[in-house]
Formats: sequence, C-alpha cells, structure tokens
Amino acid sequence: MSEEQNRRVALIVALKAEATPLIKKLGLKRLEDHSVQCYISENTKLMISGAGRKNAARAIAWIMRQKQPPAICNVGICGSRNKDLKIGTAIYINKVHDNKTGITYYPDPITRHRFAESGIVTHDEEQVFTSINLWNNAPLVDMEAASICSEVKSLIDWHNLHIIKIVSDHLEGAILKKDFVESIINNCCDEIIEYIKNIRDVYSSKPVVNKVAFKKILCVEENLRLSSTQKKKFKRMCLHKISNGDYDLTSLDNLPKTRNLFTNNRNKAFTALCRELVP
Amino acid sequence: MNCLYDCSYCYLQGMYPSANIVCFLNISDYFDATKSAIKSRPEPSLPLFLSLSYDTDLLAFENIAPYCRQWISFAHENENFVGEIRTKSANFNSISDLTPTKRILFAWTLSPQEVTARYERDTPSLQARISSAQQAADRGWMIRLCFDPVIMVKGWRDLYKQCVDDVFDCLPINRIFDATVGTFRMSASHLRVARKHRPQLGLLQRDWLVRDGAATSTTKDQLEVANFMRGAISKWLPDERIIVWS
Repeated sequence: MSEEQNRRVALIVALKAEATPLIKKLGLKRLEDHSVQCYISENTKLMISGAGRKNAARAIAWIMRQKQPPAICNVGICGSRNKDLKIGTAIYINKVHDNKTGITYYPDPITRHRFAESGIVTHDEEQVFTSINLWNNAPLVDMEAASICSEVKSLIDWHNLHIIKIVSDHLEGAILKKDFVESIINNCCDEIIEYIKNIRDVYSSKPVVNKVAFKKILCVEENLRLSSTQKKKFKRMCLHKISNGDYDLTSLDNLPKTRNLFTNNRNKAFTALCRELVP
Repeated sequence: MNCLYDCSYCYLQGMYPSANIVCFLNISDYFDATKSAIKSRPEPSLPLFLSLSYDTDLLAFENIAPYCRQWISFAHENENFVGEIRTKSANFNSISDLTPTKRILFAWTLSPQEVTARYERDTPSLQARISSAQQAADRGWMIRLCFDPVIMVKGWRDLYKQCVDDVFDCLPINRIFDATVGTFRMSASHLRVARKHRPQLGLLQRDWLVRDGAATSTTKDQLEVANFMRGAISKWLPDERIIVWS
C-alpha cells in the first residue's frame, strides 16, 4: 500500500448520534487505546469531538498530532433561520462566520459535489429564531465550524477542509432527540460517503512522478552533482515536462552523459540543461 | 479583478488564490476616491495618471460591465486627470459612440501572431487588435502601443520587426501618443505561486533572474531587447516617444 493510501481522511463529528450512522455505513472500528472517541477504517478516521468551540479545537489538535490527514471533513447538524431549507437537507458550507471574533472563512472546494451551498454562523450559545444575531447570507447556525476553520487554516491547504451540515431544525427551541438526529444523518449518509470517497480518490491517484522518471531525475542530479537550489529548479522543470505529457521524461535521454564536473563546468552544464528542458 | 484572457506571462496567475472574476459594484466610491486623489496629487502642475485596467482587461469586459464608459464620462467631467485603459481586446466597438477626450489613453498590448498564439490564450489576434486600435485612432482617440513583454522566442527579432512594421503601417502616426517596450517581469512571490499552480506553462518555468523581489530576464537580454525594439520603432516614432521599461 502506498504512503498516500495510508493517510486517512479525517471526519470530525460533534455528537455520538451524528456519528453513529456514519460509523455503521463506513464500517469503522473504535480505536481502543485512546481517551478520545476515535473510529477508523483503512482509509477513514472519524472523531467524535463533543459540541462547541473548545472541543472542536481539541479534536483538530489531536488529529494533527497523528499522521496528517489529506483532508478534514466536518459533518454535523445545524439550525436554519431560512425555513425554505428543509429539515434533513445536506448543505455544503461555502462561508463560515465566527460570531465571537467576527472573522469570516471561505472554504474553497476543488472536488465536485451535489449538495446545496450556504453560509453558516458559529455561535457559542444556543440560538432561537428571534435571535438578532443575523449575518449576511448565512442562514445556518452551529457551534463548531468557525473553530475548526480557525484551527485548520494554517495546518492544511484550505481546499482540503470540507464542512457538510444537515439542517435539523428551524431554531424553534425544541430539544432534538437522539433517534431523530440519527435518522436525518442516516438519510444523507450515502450522499456524504460518496463525497468523502471523491475526496479520497483525489489523494489516492497515481504519483505524479513515476519510477522511471524518478530514476532519471536522480541520475542527472548525481551525474552533474547539482546543488540543492539547482536540484529544486531541475525538479520544477521535470514537472513541467511531465505535465505536458512526457511522463517517462524521455527528453532527458538525449542529454550528453557528463559526470563529476567541477563547479564551474557544472553550472554551465546546468544552464544548458535548463535551456534544453524549457526552451 | 482577474481577466477573461489567459496570458502565460501574466502576474494574475500568482496573485489571487481564485481565478473567479470579480466586478466591484461600488464604482462611485472609486470616482470619489479619484476626485480626492486629484485634489491631493503631489505634483499640481501635472494631471493625476491612473492605470484603470490594471488587474484585468477593462475593455474586454465592456459588454458585461460597462466601466470604460463610466470612466470616460468621469474623464470628461474632471480636469487634471489622465486614465490609461490597457487592453488586448478588439472591443472598441462597444464604446465607439463616445466622444474622444485627451484625458483617456487607449493602450493596446501587441505581440507577433506567433507569440499571441503561444502565450496569450483566448486573446484576439494581432490583426483584430490592430483593427480595433485603428478604429479608435480614426475616431480621434490617442493610442499607446505596448510591445510589452517582448518574449524571446526562436527568431524573435524577425517576428517583432514584422509586428512593429505591420502595426505602424496601419495606424495614423499623429494619433500615436507613444510606444512602450518591456521584457518579462513578475514579482518573485507571484511567480512562485504561478509556477506551483501551472507547471505545464514553460514560460513560467524558465530560469528567470530573481533580483530585488522581481523575476526578470537577465540585464543582457533586457538591453538586447531594448536596443532592438528601439531601433525597429524609431523608424516610425521619434526617440522621445519610445519608453523602455527596465
């Protein structure tokens, strides 16, 4: 199994009731020797963080201490001020506003999805429909999303964060029962799992530099005794060739075979090599 | 913000994390800010010069967002202001009904057709740009010609010589304000991002010289281009109307 396949997409879920349907459908197993509630399979890791800002931050910290996941996905229920958003609808969050700090985050997905999109405001306390904390085009409310954005933003590439929320109520103040939460998550499970699979596919694709090309790169680096800066430049140019379809770097085959050059000659040979690769 | 065209040498590739095009709707705020800038300009004897088409190609957007029209109207109403609308478009038609003013300078970026086809994806052909510039000149607008950046491709001297001759052949010299010449230049940080995002573009991957935070051609190449282009253009324009960026 390759290095990339070993890295699990991390799911962060606040409540056990939200996690149960995902755990069942993904066939996850409880990780025993940890104080945290973490469930894993070969390519997915799910963590039950607990509700609220601090718990979400703690979960991110724990996840990032392990092998860094290629992507983090927050799944959970949310309230909606917009009654047109029906209960049970899965929404891809495209804008997250932190009611406490006033900071707004814009998740930037590169994977195609079929969810409706909307903005969300993260509050520290429960919200009811009469609340005046309205914010621009963000009818949804939750208690974790902004905290996750804030923790994750400097740790992984922004497009690797995904937030999917399922509308559970219209902020009428009713207490949500465990069975109800499980059922609305269960109804969206297939859609969410399909999306997680798509995210995973992006990372488990073939390596950009194949073995043949990699050997050739090493061979040139060794023969010309390239400096570390030259190696970086050379790799960038090789990547350019590969991205234009020369997957085996056949353009390196025709280069004169020079070995163990002195620094001055090495620099000249490297300049010529650059011109050859990127005319 | 951001552009309809996809030029391989453009710094916009490394400037914003998104390629989405953004049109700011508060244009009146820009006019207010420009009026204040005119009043507080450091050199009162000179008009305020503003490059209006800096992070985009404004004229290319004219049928979508008619900002050129509004800026021209602003220029008519405000003295001590000169705006430059730089473009690669062939879209002069969209504003051809407007009365010319000396306070707006239309600047066309021009490259030989071989360079346009290779490095200026989705842009109008050289001939279409020349026709558009010709139309503007005929209507009485002053034109700036920008041979910028000159890309040193194989046989670049012949290509650019031919391009310069073709352009000046078609345009009335008395309507040409000046001509500018430059080579590839991009902020090193923008180049770093653009290289990462677009490894397939050979022009970005070239071994550019990074100096004082900017990636450029070597001084030798810059001088070579400057001398050659000055020679080619001076056949048509006096030396003082040829500006070389270095």
